[in-house]
Amino acid sequence: SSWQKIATPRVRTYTKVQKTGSVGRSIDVTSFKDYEELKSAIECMFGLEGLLTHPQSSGWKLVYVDYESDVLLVGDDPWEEFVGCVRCIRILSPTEVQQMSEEGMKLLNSAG
Amino acid sequence: SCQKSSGGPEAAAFVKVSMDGAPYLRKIDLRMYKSYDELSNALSNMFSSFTMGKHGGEEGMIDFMNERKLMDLVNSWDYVPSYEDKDGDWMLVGDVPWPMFVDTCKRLRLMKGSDAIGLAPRA
Repeated sequence: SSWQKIATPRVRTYTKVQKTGSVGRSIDVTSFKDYEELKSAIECMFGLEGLLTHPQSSGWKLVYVDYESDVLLVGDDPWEEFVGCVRCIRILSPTEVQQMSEEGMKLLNSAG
Repeated sequence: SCQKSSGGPEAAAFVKVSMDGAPYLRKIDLRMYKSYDELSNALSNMFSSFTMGKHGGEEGMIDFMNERKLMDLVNSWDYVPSYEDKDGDWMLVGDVPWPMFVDTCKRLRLMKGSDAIGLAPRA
């Protein structure tokens, strides 16, 4: 029976949530029932009330890294799909989004 | 009479969409759209914040049907919509009928125009 225990694949329980300049947090995404709950909880943890649940006005973005190492916007997938493929979550400030876009464009420019 | 009748509405077809230079990807359900035009509009809106701003207000997306424009992509900020099909090949969006595209598309990439210049049709 001890051999069986080793053979069973480890199931991920906690997912890291990170924000530049802050200490990271760990959450169990399966304990939330939808995106609204998840975003509200993360807002509370980092003192960002209202900024993640209204991203269009605030400019803050919640993104996640999946198991193919792609960075995606949180909220596009059906919730169950998201829970199955999220590896870690990052909070991006409006400044970071802007910087990342500009860096991306610069890279394209230099490549061209 | 030999054809299988599918039970109920078709399942969603979620695919990743990346845009060269954008900080993160998006995901869309291709079955939400009925045509290439609808998809084009959706993608333009989705990525407008990255294509606009410093590089002028013009839409970065090319018209799927306008082949001549493909000839004129160097040094422009246009993006060419390409997709990875089930064979793992990157193809230009718009060549096959829409339903076939929905069935075979695994991933979308809005490619910087100059990277896709090899796609320009021969005269």
